[in-house]
Amino acid sequence: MNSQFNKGVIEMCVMALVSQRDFYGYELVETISKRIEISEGTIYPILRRLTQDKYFETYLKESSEGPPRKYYRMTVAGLRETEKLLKEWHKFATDVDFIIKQKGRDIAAGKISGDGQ
Amino acid sequence: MTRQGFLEELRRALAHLPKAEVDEIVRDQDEYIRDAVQAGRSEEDVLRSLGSPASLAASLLAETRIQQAAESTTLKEKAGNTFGAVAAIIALAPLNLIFVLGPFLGAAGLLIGGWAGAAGILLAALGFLLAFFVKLIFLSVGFWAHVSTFFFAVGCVGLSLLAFIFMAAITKAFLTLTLNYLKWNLNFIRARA
Repeated sequence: MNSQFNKGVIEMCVMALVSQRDFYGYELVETISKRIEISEGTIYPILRRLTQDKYFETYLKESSEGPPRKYYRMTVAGLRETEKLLKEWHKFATDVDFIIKQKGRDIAAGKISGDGQ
Repeated sequence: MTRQGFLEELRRALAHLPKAEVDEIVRDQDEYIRDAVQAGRSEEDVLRSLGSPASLAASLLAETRIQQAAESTTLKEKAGNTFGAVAAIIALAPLNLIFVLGPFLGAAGLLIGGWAGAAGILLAALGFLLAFFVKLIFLSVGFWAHVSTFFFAVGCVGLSLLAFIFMAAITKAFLTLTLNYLKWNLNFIRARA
């Protein structure tokens, strides 16, 4: 996968997840890693920035297994930003998909050759 | 490397940041490593995948500097923090020196020249004002000659003020542009790492 593309998408994934419920750091990395390959150091700077931008708030919660965990909770501003990003993303994905499929049909119909000429 | 070693090295690498912030980052990383180990992974595996403490610190420092620059309200503060952000990005990825430093220094040089020009006009205007008063006291060149020198001097002061306002606007635009570029650049670095 194009990694330059990857990073913005990871940020959007983080926002989408936290907009659904509160997450702690490792949980987020684990959830995203199940589907997308990421290096583990990428998420934390994103979390810090989103917190500094006031899209996230944090709070500490005692855990049964050890020291308290820091949870990330989305703010109203964060929710607004997430909605905006996801809307843009859906439009982009739909458009890309349309173009790809359109091209596939054109190739099948013999309008253009398979090598794109 | 052990968890303790990783955290100590991270703390050293972040020494430029306020202590409260360093404590928080170290606490967060400690939590993360513990959680990963609890999930059944080996400590070495987690630490390897986290990357070096130095590179994590560098990317956090660069983020912080950009944040500070974006939040600073006065032009002077913003300029200082933007220089800091450029330095942090260069520390993060020396290769970016070519991309960031060249254009940045070139434009910064032009801006400094512009400010010097504005200051020059102001100095000249003050000189003309001084000349006006000297003439007024010591020379009898007639009423209209005094009036014209006076308005010329006042005109120059006005011109220099305009120049300063213009330079402030351009400088602000330049700093904003630089910051946006740095943000983009930081994403690029992070993606490649």
